[in-house]
Amino acid sequence: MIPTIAEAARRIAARELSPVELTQSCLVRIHRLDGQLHAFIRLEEDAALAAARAAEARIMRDGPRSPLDGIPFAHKDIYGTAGIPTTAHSRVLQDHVPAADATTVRLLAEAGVVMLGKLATHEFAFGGPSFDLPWPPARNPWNPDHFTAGSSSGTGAAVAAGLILGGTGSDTAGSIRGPAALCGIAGIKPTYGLCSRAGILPLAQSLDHAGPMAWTVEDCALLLQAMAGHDPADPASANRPVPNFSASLNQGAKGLRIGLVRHFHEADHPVSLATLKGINDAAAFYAAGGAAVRDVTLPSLAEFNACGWIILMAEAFAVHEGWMRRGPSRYGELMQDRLALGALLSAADVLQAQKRRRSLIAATAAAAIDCDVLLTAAQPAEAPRIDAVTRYAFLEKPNFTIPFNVTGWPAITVCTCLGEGGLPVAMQLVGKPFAEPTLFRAAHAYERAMPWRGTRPAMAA
Amino acid sequence: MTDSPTEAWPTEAEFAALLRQAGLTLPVEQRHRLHAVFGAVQTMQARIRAPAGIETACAEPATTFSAAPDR
Repeated sequence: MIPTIAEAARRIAARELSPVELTQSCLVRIHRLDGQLHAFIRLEEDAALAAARAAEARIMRDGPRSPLDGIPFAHKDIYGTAGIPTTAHSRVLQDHVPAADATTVRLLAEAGVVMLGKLATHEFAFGGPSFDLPWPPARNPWNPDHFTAGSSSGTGAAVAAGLILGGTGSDTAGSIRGPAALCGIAGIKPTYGLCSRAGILPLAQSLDHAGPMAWTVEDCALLLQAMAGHDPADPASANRPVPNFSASLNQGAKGLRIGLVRHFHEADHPVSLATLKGINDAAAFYAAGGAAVRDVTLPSLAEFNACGWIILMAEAFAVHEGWMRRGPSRYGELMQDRLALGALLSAADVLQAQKRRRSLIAATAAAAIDCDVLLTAAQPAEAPRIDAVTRYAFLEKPNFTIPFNVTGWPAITVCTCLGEGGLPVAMQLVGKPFAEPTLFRAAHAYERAMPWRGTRPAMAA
Repeated sequence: MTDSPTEAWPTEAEFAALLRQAGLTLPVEQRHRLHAVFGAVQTMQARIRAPAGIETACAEPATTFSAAPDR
């Protein structure tokens, strides 16, 4: 039985569970499963066991530092780790060893997590799934022939398979929420500015968000508690008090005001039957639990996507311009293609998109003025086969996640059931800026009432 | 950039020139591939542009600069 972080924390604090044994059990699963999943691109086994032993000694002596003390964990390989290669899953940075930890890596280490290694990502969190990189793409533990979504692909796969209890992701257009949805776990993109981006390799700075991924909503709240906070090293970091993200978890749905963004998943980009059923069942659950549920109309998905992708492609090319001009062949083909499209945008394109961004944020705020939470899809359907993912998928159909990178509002993915082929489907809940406690409350109320957290992928059972 | 993604612009040769102007020298096959999907980018370019008018022309972008240290 793979424990959640909350369960493990309770047992560790009661001296019923040893962090060393918990870490060893994860390492056993990694050795058994990661040959199929490719979730890790670097395993730090000796360091992890040493950290687990230190955590155990510390806890026996003084009690746990936090609910994360002794918890097996890993970082997406764009999170800078001092003395440990941070490659962005790319040949370009294959030998890059940061001198310092990213702020969030340091905060999680201070909370006591046991870092098992570095996790697969799409190349620089953008180019994937790619088969021409130094490491293969991660596979979905529910069926390894299928895609994890990206770009926090290794984190999604590793958490779902129980290789780790939690991990970091980053989200510029949906890179936490997409893999969380297709891998059947929980993942939150916090409000822009809540978690420091300092020391994390950028994709597009005005859209980049750092955040946690875990098996449950409750675990995401525990992880976010350690990750959030003002950081002068990040110019976008919000200087405001960090609330207790777990305080409202058990307050239930009664009194919540839920806005169903029906046109996103029924008209703008119609979703699969199982995805739609999950969303409708969730809306019914909230209504039955005393929440007020009503339809909300936002600008179209296509408008959000045009704005978000123009900004993303331009900012990404600005990050990579030097490398792309000197030697594009060091990137995988897919990353080269995506970056090259960004090179063709004009300064006017970017500023028009930033003007549109302001108007989209204002329109979203007006439409959601009497809502606490918005509800829509996170992904259009169950995970496709990994060999069926098209090269330019992001240009073909609008995604459901980038609207809330454009607005910067917090959004969380929650599994709603197993759909076709036994693959998970999910919903996306969206909160008001810095209202993560309410978002966690809504997500946890649904999740704990449903049976889906009792089922892991068969390979991990 | 064109106002309408339905116009046959840029041609392959013009597209190659755009890439060169951006400082990129890409193999022919890759150039063809990108040219084939560039229409989707043009659609986005058109979509972010609001109808012409004094209000939209003068609208502030989301990245408006501020000298205030807390913004």
